Amino acid sequence: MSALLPGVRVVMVCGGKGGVGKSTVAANLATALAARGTRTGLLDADLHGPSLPVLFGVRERPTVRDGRIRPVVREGVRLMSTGLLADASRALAWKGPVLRGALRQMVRDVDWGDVETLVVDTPPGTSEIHMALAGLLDISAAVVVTTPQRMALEDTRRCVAMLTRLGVAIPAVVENMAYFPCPCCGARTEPFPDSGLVGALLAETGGAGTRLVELPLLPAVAAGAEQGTPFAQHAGGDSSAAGAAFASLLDALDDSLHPVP
Amino acid sequence: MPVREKPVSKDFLNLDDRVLGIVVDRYGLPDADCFLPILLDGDRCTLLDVRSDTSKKAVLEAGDKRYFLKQVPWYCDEPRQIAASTGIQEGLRKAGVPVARLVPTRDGDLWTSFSDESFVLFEHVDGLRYRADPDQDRSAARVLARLHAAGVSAEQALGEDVFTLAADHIALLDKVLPDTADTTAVFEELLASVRRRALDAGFGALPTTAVHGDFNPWNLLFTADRRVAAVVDFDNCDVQSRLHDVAEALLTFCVLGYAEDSTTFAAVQPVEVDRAAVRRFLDAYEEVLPLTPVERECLPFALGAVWIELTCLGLLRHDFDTSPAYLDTCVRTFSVLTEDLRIGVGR
Repeated sequence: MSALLPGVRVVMVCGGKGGVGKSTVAANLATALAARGTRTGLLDADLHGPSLPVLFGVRERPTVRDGRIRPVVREGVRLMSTGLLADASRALAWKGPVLRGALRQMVRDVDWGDVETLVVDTPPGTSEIHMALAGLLDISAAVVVTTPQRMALEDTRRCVAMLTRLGVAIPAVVENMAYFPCPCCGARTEPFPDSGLVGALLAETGGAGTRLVELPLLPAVAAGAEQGTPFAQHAGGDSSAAGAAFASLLDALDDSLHPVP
Repeated sequence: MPVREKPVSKDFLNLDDRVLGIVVDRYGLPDADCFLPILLDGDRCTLLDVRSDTSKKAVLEAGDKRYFLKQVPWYCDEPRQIAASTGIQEGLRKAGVPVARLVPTRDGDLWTSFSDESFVLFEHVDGLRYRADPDQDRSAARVLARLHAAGVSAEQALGEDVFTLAADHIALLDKVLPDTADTTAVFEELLASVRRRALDAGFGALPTTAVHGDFNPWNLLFTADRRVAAVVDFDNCDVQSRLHDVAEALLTFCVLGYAEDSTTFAAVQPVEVDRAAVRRFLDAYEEVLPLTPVERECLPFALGAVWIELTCLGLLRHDFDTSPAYLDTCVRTFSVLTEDLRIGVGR
C-alpha cells in the first residue's frame, strides 16, 4: 500500500510506444471498474500530453475545498489531469523537480476520497515520470498496452523490463488493434502480420501469470474517444467485442484489485 | 527601471535539479526535494505557469514549512533594483505592513543569483485570491494607504514617475510591434496632454514615498474574512508619488478585466468604469491617508498614464482583441478616465 494513499490499489497503465492506446485503455478500464461498483480514481500522469480531458469530454477546472483539490467526476470516476489545469495553448515542459512536485501534488493534495482503486495513465516509454511514480506510490499492478507492430513491441519490452525491475506484477497485456471484425459478417481481419512478438512479450512478463487481452479495432471505441464518452460505459452494437475484452481485463486484474481487508 | 523586451529563453519557466540543488544549498533547506507547481488559493487551483508567465515560480516544502521561490523577472533584475525592492519589502514588513517575509540565504542575502538569473525566497502565505468583493476592495485600499504611510525609502530606488514609465512602454511597443504605429502615435499624444496638465497642476512637487509599483488584485492574498493577508511581488517597487499605486489599483480593481486564472488581461475590456467601486476604493484609502488637493487634481492624469502603460503591456503580450474599432475604444476609455472620472476622483 502507498504511504500517500493507504489502502488504495494502484494500477499503472503503461506502454513503450506513443499512440498505442494507453489512455483509451486507462479511461475505459477506470470506467468499467466504476461501473462494476469499485470506487475508482484516474490519475493522468502523462503530465506533458494529458489526454483524459478529451477522453472524458471534461473542460471544468477542479475546485479546492479545505486546502485539497477536488477531482472532477465523470462516469463515476474521479479524474485528475494537468489538462484540467491548463488549456492546450499552454506548453507544459516541466522536468525534474517540477515534474516530481506536480505528481506529488496530484497524488497527495487531491481529495481522492474513499477510492479503492487508482488507475494511473502514464506517458509512453520508460520515463522520469514512471520512476517518480514508483517512488511516490506502491504500484499494485501494471497493465501493459501495445499494438502488434514490431516498432511498438520492441519498446514495450523495455517497458516490461522496467516494471520487472520495479517488482510490479503485470496481470495483463492489452494488444490493441489486434484485429478488425467485419461489421457485416464478423470475420476477423488482422491488420498487422503476426510476428510472434506478442507471444515473446508475454513470456517476458512472467508467462502464465499474464493474460493477453485482445482489443479489436472498432469504430465505437474511436468515436467514444472523440466524443468524450468512454465506450465501456455506453457499450452497444459493434462495441460488444471490446466490452468482452475489458471484462477479460477486469478478470485478470481481480486478484490485485481485491479490496484490502 | 529600464523597460525591456521579454527575452526568449530556451528553459522557459523550468526549474531543474541544478536550480533545486543551488537553492537547497544556499538557503539551507536540505529537506526540499522538489518544486510544487500547483497553486491552491481559496476554492480554485491554478498552475503557477498559467497564473503568470513573467518568471519562474514554485513552492518548496522543507520540514513543516513552505516557501515560495520566485525568479526576479527580466525587466527588474538589475542588482540596484533588486536591492531597492528587497530593502523596501523588508522595511514595510518591519513597519507592520502585511508583506510576505523574505527568507535570507545562509550568507544573509535577501536574494541570490546564478546563471544570469536572480531569485528571491519568501515564507509561503496561505491566502485566498481576490473575488471582486467590496470588503476585499476596502481592505486592499486601507493596506495600500498603510504601505504609503509607512514612510519607507530606499536610496537605490530609481524614482521614475508614471509618465516616464508610460513613455517607456510606448517606445517598447513601437520597437517590438512596429505595426502598432497608429496606436503608439495616439498614445504619445494622449500621454503628452496628461503629462502637461499634471505638471501644470503641481505633479512635479508631489511628495514621494515607497510605492509597490504593481498593486493589482493578483498581488494580494486575502483571509477568509476578506482582509488582506499579504501583499506580494514587489519587483516593480520604487520611490515616487503614491499616485502611481493609487491609479494602478483603481484601474486593476475597478476598470480592467482579466482572463480567467491569470494576470493576462481579458481580450475585450469594458469601456465603462465602475464609479461606485472607484469611490469605495478611494474612500477606504483616504480613511487611512487622505490625498492632498494637489494629488486629487493630478490623480486623473496619473490614471491616464498608468492606463497607457498597462494597455501597452497588454498589447505587447497580445492580450487584447485589436479589431479595427480598438483604437476608438482606447481613446474613449482614456477620456472617461481623465475627463469624466476627474469630477469623481478629484471631488
